Parts: sequence; C-alpha cells; structure tokens
Amino acid sequence: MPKPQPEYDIKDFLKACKENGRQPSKVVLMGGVLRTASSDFSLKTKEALLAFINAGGLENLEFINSIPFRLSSEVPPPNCDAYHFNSGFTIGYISFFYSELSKHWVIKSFHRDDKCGPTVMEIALRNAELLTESLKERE
Amino acid sequence: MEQVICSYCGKDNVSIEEHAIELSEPYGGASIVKIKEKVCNHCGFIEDDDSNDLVIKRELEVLKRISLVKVIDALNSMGHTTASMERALGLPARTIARWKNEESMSPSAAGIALMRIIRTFPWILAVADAQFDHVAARGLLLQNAAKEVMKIRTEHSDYDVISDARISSNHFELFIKGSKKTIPEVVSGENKVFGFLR
Repeated sequence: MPKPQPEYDIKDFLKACKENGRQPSKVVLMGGVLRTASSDFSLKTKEALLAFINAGGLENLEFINSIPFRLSSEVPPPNCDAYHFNSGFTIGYISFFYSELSKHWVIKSFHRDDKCGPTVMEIALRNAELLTESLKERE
Repeated sequence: MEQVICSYCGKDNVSIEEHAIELSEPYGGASIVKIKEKVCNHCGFIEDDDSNDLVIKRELEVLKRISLVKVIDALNSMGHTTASMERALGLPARTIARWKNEESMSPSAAGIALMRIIRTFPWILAVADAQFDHVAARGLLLQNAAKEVMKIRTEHSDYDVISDARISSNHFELFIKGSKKTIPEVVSGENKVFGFLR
C-alpha cells in the first residue's frame, strides 16, 4: 500500500543534490533517467540535472505517494517517494529513495507528469479524501 | 584498470552496457552518441555511468557551434548583416562575426539563446532597433502576426481564413478564424442543432 506521508525529509534529498560537487557522488541516476530528463526538460547531463534541482528548479513540490522500490535487493526494500513539481509551463514527476545499504540517494524517475503517475484528477480526489480504496500502486 | 562497483549493493559484479541516444540542439540538427549504463549482475540495479556527462557535453558543444553558424547564416540570408544586428542589439562591433568565424570564440549560453530567439522571430531585431519602445514593439508584433495570417491563408487553401481587428470606445476585438470550405458538413451540423431545438 502506498504511504500517505513522505518517507524522507525532502530537504535531505535537496541537500544531497547540493553536495554533489564532492566526490564520490552521493546521488545516483537510475538507467533511463538521463534520457527522459533530456527529452522532457532539456537537462542533458547529470550535472545539469543536479544543478537544476540545486537552483530550486523543483517548484511547488506536491507529494504523491511513497511505495517500496520493487527491484530492491534490500530487506525490507527502501520506500520511494514520488512528487509532482512545476517548472515553467511543464508539470514534472520525480521519484527517489535513499539506500541505507549504499548510503546513496537514487533518482529513480524524472520526467513529464503525463507519462505515468496519478493523474491530476486522482491527486485532487485523494486530497479531497474521495479516493482511498481504489488508489493503485504506481511507479 | 579501475574496478567498477554497483552504487546500490556495492558488489563489483558489474557489466557495462552501451546505449545510443540522440542529442539535438535547436537549429543545430541531431547526432547520436553512445552512453554507458552500469548493470549490476548481482542485484540487477541499472545506473547511469558518471563518464556520460563528458561525452554528452563534448557532442553538445559541437551541435551548439553548428546551430549558431546556421542561425547566423539564416539571418544573413534574410538580409540582416552581422554589423546591423550588433548595432541593434548594442553588442560590441564584430561580436556576432567572431561567434560565427572564430572556433575558439564561443558565445555564452545566454548569447546562444538570444540568437535562437532572433532566428525564431527575426522581427525582434526591429524592436531592438526601436530601442524596445513599447508602442513600436506592439505595432511590429501585430504587423508580423498579420503576415503570419497571410501565410496560413496561402498554406491552407482548403480553409477560409478571416482575420480582423476592431477598436471602439468600449470594445476591442482581434480574431483569426479558420474554417474548412466543405459546406455540406456545416449544413448537416446545423440541421442537427435545429433538430435538437425543435
């Protein structure tokens, strides 16, 4: 079941993105993240992506859900927090988790909101507490 | 050789997979580069390899250069000389010419963005030439909007395109209306509406 509250303090994640200039990097991009960050937001490198986050690019962050990272080798698996954000004319979707095993933050998804994730209508219904049973797990 | 370790589980049983991605820059075309992904054979975690940034940055530099040269060439072919653009934009003499001709002299990201905006809306140069005067800018915008409407009219001969602007003491109207010339559909649509009203 998705958790109604974020697993992590978003400030910790943002702080980790800020510290990324130091080696070794504490933030890892999962495969495919760079592709969608490039195609959807013109953020073509990891450096550009983290600099964007660092510059306050994730505007109006809105928590969506927190669900276990299915592909995890950790027991129990880490929870993955998902958020919507605004950037200019675009609504984006970011999900990330912190691995206790590796002590790394992992950005799992970063793309436009329309590719997956709950619809704006679903979020609005959930915020109004009209959507409890039917909310399906999404990643 | 440096040992490759999975950032997730810490094991060194990692293989490198190459994927081709397309990079593009506005007005600069596109090119394909190969990026690496680290695939952990132990836990299955797939991550972006840190070396990708360098490969991507290098290729983007090439595309940006191509983009800039194409943008300036296109503006030149429209009749905007580099000297006139530099003057209108208040840039030091030969700035744009050097951006174009000297490999070592690359404009900043802001400079590239400026040239792309001008390439997209070349009439912005006339606005700059008028010292960004608000009234002149509005006149140029409407004048060029009208030109675009004329273009739409010639590009879509199967559409009737009507445009107008009217101002009265208490009313302002600006519209562009396109409607397909196939009358039977309109008639049947109207019949349906009237049928519903009956």
